Amino acid sequence: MNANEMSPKIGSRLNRIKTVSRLFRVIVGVLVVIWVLLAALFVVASVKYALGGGGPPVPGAMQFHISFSPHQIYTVPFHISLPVFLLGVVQLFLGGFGLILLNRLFTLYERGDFFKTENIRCIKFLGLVVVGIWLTQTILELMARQYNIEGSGLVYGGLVVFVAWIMDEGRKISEEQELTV
Amino acid sequence: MPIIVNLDVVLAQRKMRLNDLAAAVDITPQNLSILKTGKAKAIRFSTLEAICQTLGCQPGEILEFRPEPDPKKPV
Repeated sequence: MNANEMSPKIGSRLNRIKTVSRLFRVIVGVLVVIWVLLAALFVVASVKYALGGGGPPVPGAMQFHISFSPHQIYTVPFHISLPVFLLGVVQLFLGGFGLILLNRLFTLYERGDFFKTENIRCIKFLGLVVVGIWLTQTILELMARQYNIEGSGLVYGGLVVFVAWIMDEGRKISEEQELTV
Repeated sequence: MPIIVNLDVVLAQRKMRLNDLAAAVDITPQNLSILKTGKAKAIRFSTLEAICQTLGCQPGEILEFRPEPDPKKPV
């Protein structure tokens, strides 16, 4: 067996990674579809409310309850101010972007790319999405006068960005070694 | 990168194939191809020595410094 051939053990490991990645990609794909529907519902309902003059909720009218955190449940489109709505939209889009990034990451893993620049970029942006969601959530909670702010989102997101940076530096070192003749 | 690898030129002058050089200096043709196409980030002195010895040339014939034009300076 020469260096370029794959041992059966490596082959079976790769196949396992590909199978699990495909499964996760499908799950995330379904979540993306749900996210698109939810985002459309949120925006359409809010625009409908805004065009209707923003009056008090009609008794018996359909209301959508969207929860961004265990502490807060928003009733959409009623009873929310414009800044809260806009922050909700930003948070919703950040969540969707995160799902798309996850989908892309699992697609790359399925393809057999593990430590490429694109993987690292996906991981870095996932960390930034977590930080972004934490930031919008914090602003929303401050606006709702809830001052028991958690910093876990910032810590986790920051850690993911840090790990992505380490991975990128490691990839550069490895690339340099590979390209030393 | 301003360092240009002229290995293909020297090989053509010596009428030598890349695979033959690879065999002579005991480097894989893939690695030598990385050097020839200018993708290499670094070259070991031992590799350079072996190449120069086989091709009977100086390092300066293989490597050339061509400064990149400064975009800030007017032409």
